[in-house]
Amino acid sequence: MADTNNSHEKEVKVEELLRLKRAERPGQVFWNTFDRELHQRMLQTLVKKDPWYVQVLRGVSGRIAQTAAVGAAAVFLALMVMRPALVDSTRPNGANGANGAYLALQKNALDLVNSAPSVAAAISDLDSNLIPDYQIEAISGSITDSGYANEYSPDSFELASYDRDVYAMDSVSLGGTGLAITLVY
Amino acid sequence: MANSGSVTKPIFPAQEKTLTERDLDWAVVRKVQAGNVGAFDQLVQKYREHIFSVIYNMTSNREDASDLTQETFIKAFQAIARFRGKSSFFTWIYRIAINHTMTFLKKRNRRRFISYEKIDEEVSNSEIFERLTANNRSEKGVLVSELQEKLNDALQKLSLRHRTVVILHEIEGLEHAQIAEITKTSIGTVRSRLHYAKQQLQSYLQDYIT
Repeated sequence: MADTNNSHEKEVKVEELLRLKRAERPGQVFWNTFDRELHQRMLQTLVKKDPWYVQVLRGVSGRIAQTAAVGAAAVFLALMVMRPALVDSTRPNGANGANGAYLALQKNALDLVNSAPSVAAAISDLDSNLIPDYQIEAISGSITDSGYANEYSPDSFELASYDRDVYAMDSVSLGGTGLAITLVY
Repeated sequence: MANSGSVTKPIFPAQEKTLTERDLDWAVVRKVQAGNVGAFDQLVQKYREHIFSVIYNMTSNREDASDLTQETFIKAFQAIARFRGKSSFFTWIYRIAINHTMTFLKKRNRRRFISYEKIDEEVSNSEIFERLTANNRSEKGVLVSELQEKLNDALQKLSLRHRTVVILHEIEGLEHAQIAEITKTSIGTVRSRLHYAKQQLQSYLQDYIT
């Protein structure tokens, strides 16, 4: 029994052996060198330039974002300019007179009038439906360009139209690009 | 083992990793994220020895371990702006260290250079060495260096996954749950790997295990 106890006392487990590894520790001299080297390497990473492909990607993505924003603004502006012209072309008293669409519409209307019991009322309704609810009478634009290097910051465009008693204003700003478009009608 | 002093004292007691500890680290991380770069040094001072210990025991090379530990902190520093605190900083930095070391060891492949850290002299006076000396009838100084070599060899024979779990549990003193979080595995997997690894080590170190 005594031998058994003695052998148990002398028994060494694998866990105990592994814990001896905790004693493999570097001294203070090692840590002083370690700290100095680490600080140097961290400073190097702070001032180190990104690889060329990262720089290119960053530049390209920045340009794409800028170009997309300017492009979107241009499309929006173009639509705003084109829209009244399109609407105007359907008017009976427009500068170009009646066009094909209007003539077709008028023909259909006349057919309808001929078959309708109240001709006068139908024509009146037709005319009132064809007149647009607004018209652009003036377009004014202003661009304050402080240069591409300034990332298009203080640019502005304005479209305005005034129709007698009705006065309203819509404005759209394209966030981040510094562009703002105002539609007054 | 009761009188084995600093040898048996866990380097990194799992119980100390409370919420408070996590919060303290998080506060320092927020400082660094706010631009106080110098605050990162607090994290380096706190974790450098633990990280070095893990990497050293994984590589069995003190120079590699030193380089990899530095690189671990540099990686953490570079990525700290993206650290959102979903896990503790402790888990995060351990994960970086282990992943980085595994990548290094996989690249190093068959080239194995062993460079040991000097073993603490206290250990030769520990109770376990008294028993080992009695069992092996060897001179204590010889036994220390011989056992150090055998232990490192045995660890290097384990697969990286098994080695990592053994190091984190038996040497670093982390709990199964903490290891599972670091290695992104289940607790069951950790236990299973630990069991297998210990069996392997027992066969490699049978000359010392009575």
